[in-house]
Amino acid sequence: MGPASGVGKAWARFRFYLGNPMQRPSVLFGSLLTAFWSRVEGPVEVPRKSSLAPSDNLQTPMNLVMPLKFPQVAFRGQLGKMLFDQTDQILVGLNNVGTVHFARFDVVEGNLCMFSIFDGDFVGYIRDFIGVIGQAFDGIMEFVKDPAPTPCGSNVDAFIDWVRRHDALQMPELATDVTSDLVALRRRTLVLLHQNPNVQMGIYRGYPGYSVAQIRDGLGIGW
Amino acid sequence: MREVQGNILRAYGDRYRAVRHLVLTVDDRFAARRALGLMVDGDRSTPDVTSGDRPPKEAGYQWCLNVGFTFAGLAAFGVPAASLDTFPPEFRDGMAARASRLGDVGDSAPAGWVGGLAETRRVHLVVTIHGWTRSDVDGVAEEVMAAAGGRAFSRLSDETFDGEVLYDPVTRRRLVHFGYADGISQPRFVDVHDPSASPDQLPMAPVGVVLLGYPSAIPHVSWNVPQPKVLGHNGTFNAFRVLGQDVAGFEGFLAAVEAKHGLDRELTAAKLCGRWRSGVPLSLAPTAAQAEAFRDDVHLNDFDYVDGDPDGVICPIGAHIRRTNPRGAHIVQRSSNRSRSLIRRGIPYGPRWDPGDAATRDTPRGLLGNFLCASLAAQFEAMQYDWINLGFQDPRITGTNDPLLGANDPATSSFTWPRQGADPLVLRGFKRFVVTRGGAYTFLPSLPAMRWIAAQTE
Repeated sequence: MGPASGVGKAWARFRFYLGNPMQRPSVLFGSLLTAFWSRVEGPVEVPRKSSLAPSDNLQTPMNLVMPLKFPQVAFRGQLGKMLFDQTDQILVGLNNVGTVHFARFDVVEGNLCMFSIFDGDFVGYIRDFIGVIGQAFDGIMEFVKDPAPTPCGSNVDAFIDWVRRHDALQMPELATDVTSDLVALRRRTLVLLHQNPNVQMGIYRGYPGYSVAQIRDGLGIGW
Repeated sequence: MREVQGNILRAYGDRYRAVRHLVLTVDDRFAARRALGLMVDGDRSTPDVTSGDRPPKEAGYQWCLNVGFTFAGLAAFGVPAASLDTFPPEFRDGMAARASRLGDVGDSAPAGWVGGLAETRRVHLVVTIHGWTRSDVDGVAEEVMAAAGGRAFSRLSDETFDGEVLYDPVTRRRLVHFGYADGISQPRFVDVHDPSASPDQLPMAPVGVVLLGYPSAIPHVSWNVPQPKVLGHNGTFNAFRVLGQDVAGFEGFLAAVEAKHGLDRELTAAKLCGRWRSGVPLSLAPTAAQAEAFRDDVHLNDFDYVDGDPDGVICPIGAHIRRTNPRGAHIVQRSSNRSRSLIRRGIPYGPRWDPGDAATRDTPRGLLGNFLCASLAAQFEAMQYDWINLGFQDPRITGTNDPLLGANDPATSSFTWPRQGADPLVLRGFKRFVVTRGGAYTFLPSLPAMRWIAAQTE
């Protein structure tokens, strides 16, 4: 998700926290202060890092959060039908991408979410799935706010950029990925959270360090 | 072909034995545009850019000229920001910024690049001159630098990127310093190449593999064409690489394998590459005797891994040519068998390796490589990132790197050599044999695009 309006988010939190008197003084003050820091210090960038270590390139999460155009149940029903109609194409397509551990579509509070775990490079993953389920994503774009330009197969870079902006922030595992100034770590972390309402806070891996193909090969179920 | 720069769809040919890559920075934008205009439409007082339809051995042409622009170079020529924004992100970033994806770390890191290529923001043009002889190249290089009164460009370093074709004295095949025949396998394009001239079990490729503005090799996917159309159409991207080759280290490793396992050096070299050094593929000639008897130069690419060798007993799955071109073999990324292919144009630099010649033993040598494609990210980077390194295309090689090109470290490197009726032999402890000494992402515009760039007024 893109950075939210500082003033708008601060006001939303102000109203939210007014409902909880026990938290009111510190949280309210903290939220206002964070909004101020965010304005003064500018964005905190967390680069996607490339690494040559195999373990750094396996089981990477993507948490795509796509706000729906309309919240009504009938609209969600149409979305569900469209996804149902595309099921075969999506499943076959993701199987052909070959690097996907799982991918699931959820509707959460007015957002269509595609949560997945994949091996390899983020951009490569998006590009590969454009190649195999791009047409399904063209259909999805009709249901989301501020969609990527379609057809995505003819707008590859724009679509990758759109996905990147709608991929929930994954909190860095290393403090130095937030800031090299460790004195400012807490402040910068709050600014980061302020700018990214959708965040993946952590992840558990039951079989770390293995690709989906290695697992399938080991199980003898074909890869 | 008339609008496309030469050496893209068709190679210049063996007559052009010498090459120089000039790494230039623009000193005077207006003079640079004038010089560029003369290179496209001049009166031959300035060398002209070679187009794809020029007969390679046309009388009077003992040289060929290509011009590649970096992203900073296009900006230096005054290409408007609105156009610059339409170039793909990886090109805008530049090769140095993508170093970790490419395996350019440690000794290959951009900070150590030579010949001015470390000054990434000042690298604006890579002008490539091929000539019949070194003096042909020298003469054209002088004329390029003198264009538009000599004020247009300057070189970023006194170090030159000069290369010269190496030939096998017996077979007359082109070689790289490691001793392998080179340039054997290239994509063949529909409506450009005669399929019967070089039979290959792979289907012909669409020109969109290398040229912008045409359907790509991936159904329903077309790469963005930089705008305006005249700028992007018929252009191509190039990964220019200066790749140092540690021949002594490579030969030392072959000798170590021979000493430890009793395996013939040439067999080990063939297993690491997937071809014998003569160029004959293991898939067609699994034994040295068969390779020796193989005389059919036309069919050097007429094979696949689909039938008969799924486990790599003949050609190991991790062998260089199988990693970089799995052909029809089953791979993890099932949609990518042919989508990552690219054109390779390379000429060695440095003296031929001779272990008995103390004067040249430690002289730098390697390959001046151009890797041409329509999408640097989807082709060059994807191949470099998770096929050459990481080995994601097959679970049996995942976690290993290409034995010849990969970013190997003796502490972790391994190469699996499957054997019929025996446990696979795993070779370990080999170093990185190819080190990146420099590089740049460039855009090779069409000739009309260069006219358009030369006509900018900003």
